[in-house]
Amino acid sequence: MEVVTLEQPTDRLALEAGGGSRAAFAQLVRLETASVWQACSRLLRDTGEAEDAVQETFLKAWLALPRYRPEGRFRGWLARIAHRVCLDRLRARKEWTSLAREPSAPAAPLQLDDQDEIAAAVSELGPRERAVIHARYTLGLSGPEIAAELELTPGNVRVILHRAIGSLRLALKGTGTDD
Amino acid sequence: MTEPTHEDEELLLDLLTGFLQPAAAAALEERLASEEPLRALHTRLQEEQTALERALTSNALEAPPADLSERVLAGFAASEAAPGPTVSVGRSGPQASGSRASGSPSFGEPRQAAPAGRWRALLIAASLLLGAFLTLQALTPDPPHEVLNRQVRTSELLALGIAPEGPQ
Repeated sequence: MEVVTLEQPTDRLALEAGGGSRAAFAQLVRLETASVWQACSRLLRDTGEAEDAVQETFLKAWLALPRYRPEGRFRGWLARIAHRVCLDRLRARKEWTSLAREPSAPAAPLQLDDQDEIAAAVSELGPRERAVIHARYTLGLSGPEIAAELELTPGNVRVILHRAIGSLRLALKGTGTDD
Repeated sequence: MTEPTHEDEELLLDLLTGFLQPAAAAALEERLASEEPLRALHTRLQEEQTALERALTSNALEAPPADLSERVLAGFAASEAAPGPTVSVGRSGPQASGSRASGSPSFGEPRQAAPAGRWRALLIAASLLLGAFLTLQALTPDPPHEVLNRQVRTSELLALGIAPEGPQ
């Protein structure tokens, strides 16, 4: 028999919500709105659309909760739903298909402590770059996983990731303690 | 000892982001063990990856609109009150797709959606079957009139007991 360890309070709530408890779901919404909002607003860069995406994320989560396996990763599970919701919205935009410009020159690796600056620079990237960066560093997905998630080839994802990092280096050059 | 090239840096980035094949990764690890400048670059790239990860998973973020979670919940509650296949939850409201896996109480889930869908599917299947039957019937050729007339005459003669012998 499988032993379920509820490592996180959100796991307990998720189990209850999966069983139909509206109170548990309401608590989950209150606890996780900020993290879902963060992901959606960074990916979509549009306040109104990000709000819609948050709502859609919770709706999809509510529908999927009966199948949720409590492994202490509720936030990650929810973040992945949010990521997919945002991807669908990004794909619907014309700019999704546009290719990002290659950075004009290679720049040195970042050595920044200012998280706000990095987050702001990420939000200035193109939609595909944002999606790849988000999948890699927020969701912690590997290259092939990102490729599957974005329906791109691993080679394509690799190029996008390299370009995105190059663009971030250029954007953040001189703003931190880079030597 | 040579300075790492741009290609070396790309390889290191591939190593850190999981894009390098095992054989190439092993070769690079070997070089890392012996080449100090490459190792230094690897460390810097690792720090960069950590900084990105920290920045993008940080909880010190721009706060969501103050009442967003309440609006999400209000949207669910409203959608529960309003029957129909579309669940409206907030500003403009997303579209619900699919139904909940369990039979538990729902926030606005279209409860009759599944039975109604089944009836619709049954009706469509019945119409298709009827259509196929009528088409087949229309396509089956009628026997020629002469054959029909001969069959009628033979059956009349048989009834009178004076049918001609031999094949018709």
